[in-house]
Amino acid sequence: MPDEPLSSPRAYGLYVYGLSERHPSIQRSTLVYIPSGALFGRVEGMVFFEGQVVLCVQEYLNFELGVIEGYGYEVSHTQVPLDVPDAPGAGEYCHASYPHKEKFYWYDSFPHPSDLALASTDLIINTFLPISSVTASLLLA
Amino acid sequence: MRMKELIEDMGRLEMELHKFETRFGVKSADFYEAMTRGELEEFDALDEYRIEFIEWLALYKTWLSLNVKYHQLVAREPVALQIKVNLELSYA
Repeated sequence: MPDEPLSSPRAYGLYVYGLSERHPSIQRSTLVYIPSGALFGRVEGMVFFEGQVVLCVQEYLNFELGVIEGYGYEVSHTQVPLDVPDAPGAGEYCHASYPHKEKFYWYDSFPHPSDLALASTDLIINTFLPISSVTASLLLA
Repeated sequence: MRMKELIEDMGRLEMELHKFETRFGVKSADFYEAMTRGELEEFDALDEYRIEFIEWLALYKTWLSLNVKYHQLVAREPVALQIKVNLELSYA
């Protein structure tokens, strides 16, 4: 039985690097776990699906509390090939203003306390699940 | 939880937070209060700042949680004992 992903940096790394194996619809992933300390780190990169669909991921992880403290996700259709040597990396492509993509939807942890719908989803997602699994599940459905 | 590890991570976080504080001209605590009150919602529409603000907020919330842990550990054992334990580890 694998550890709960947010129980440690190692467990989260295993979770992230095993996404492609667990979800066959993922064609390729550039997600990388970047440790910033013993108790916190980040995940950055892109997940590629069939039909040139791309999921951009940015997560800030707190292993003291076992939560994703901050996140940004964006699903888009790329209008340029991303599997060639000079393709834009996540730092360029995932920038919201990158022009050669059609954005389908996005989700992030920017607080909107005056918008109750956004506030409630932030609480649910951030408390119970790594959102990358939620987003991937949506795409797999 | 190891105190030494906790102190090291808090120091790393403080260095990261200081970069944001210098760039945007406010202390992290004030940024946090403004963000959680919804006073910075206009920046959500600005691509160049949104992700930075999400990162800054996440790092500060992480620092807050480590600070709580720090005070729990300090309250549990006298400071003199914490220092001796740390010195023993350093000389081991």
